[in-house]
Amino acid sequence: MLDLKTFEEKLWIEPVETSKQINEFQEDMISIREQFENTCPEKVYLIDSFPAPIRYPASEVLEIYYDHKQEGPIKDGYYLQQEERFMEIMKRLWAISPVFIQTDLHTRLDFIKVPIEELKKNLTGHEANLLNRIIKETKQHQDNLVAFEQFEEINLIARMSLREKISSCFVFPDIRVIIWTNSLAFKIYIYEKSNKDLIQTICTTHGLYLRK
Amino acid sequence: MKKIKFIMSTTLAFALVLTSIAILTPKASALGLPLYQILYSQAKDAADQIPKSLKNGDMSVDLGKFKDKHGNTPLKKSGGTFQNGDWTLEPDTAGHLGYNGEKKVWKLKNPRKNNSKGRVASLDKYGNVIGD
Repeated sequence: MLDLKTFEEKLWIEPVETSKQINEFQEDMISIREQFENTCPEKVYLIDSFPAPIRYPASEVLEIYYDHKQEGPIKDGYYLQQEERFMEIMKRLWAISPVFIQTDLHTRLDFIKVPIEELKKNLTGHEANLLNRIIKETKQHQDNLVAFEQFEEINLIARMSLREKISSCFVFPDIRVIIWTNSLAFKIYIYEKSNKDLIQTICTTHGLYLRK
Repeated sequence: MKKIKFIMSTTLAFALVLTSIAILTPKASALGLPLYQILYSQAKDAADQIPKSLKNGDMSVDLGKFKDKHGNTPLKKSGGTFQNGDWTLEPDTAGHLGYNGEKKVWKLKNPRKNNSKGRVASLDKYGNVIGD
């Protein structure tokens, strides 16, 4: 049985090695979100474009997500404006803490068998090359946490996750925050209560809501 | 006599006005039913795109038919990505509401298909199709 409290305390100190230890419980940093939500619901929030869940039928009209049907680079200005707001949050957190990221890229390519062309669709040539590099460099780690230092890599992984191409988990050890994303929203775990106000301020400043 | 005629005609006119108002004003239930039917039909369209082999009813996906890389189904855990053939189930973390008032918990997709359109349907925690 996984002891989440002990796991978490080690995670902030030694993110990469600690994240590997949960593999024996058939968990990884993406799937373990459920346990954080169940064990510490008071520390888990959602960063969203809306202050509360959208009622139906408004959800059919107002919910914002990436249009996979379009061809070529994205031109939807409203979507890009919203996406940029989430990227500003990511930048602010990275400015405070280094980041360790787990994606499900290798699960998608090797287990689900998503063609790499589908993942690269709508990416620029430079982004597609960058994706190749990320896949190659993370291959040996498979789907475990990896330290990322280059912002262009963090930027690509975050945008592909916001566009629902992949799922990702971002661990910011210095501020003890975890973000999970696979759509235009961030599920966020905030360990220290004092950091909640800071993150609330960052969200409000960039036109987003920190909500339950 | 004139006074009686006046009272009768005024009463008749008043009754006619009341009747007209009653007929022309739609009742809440009369408005609600077509709206519900529209919302239901949108979810039904999404459900119709899902193969029967993945469903346990016209409007319901069998969550037990999807597995993650460890063999777990969404009935056991809700984190991660679950697969059946070309189809995947992924968590919907925003939790906006579907036509039946339940939260959207799963996104059903077919990412392996060429030119995948992303989400095909949104499901509640029971697997009911509640939106596209």
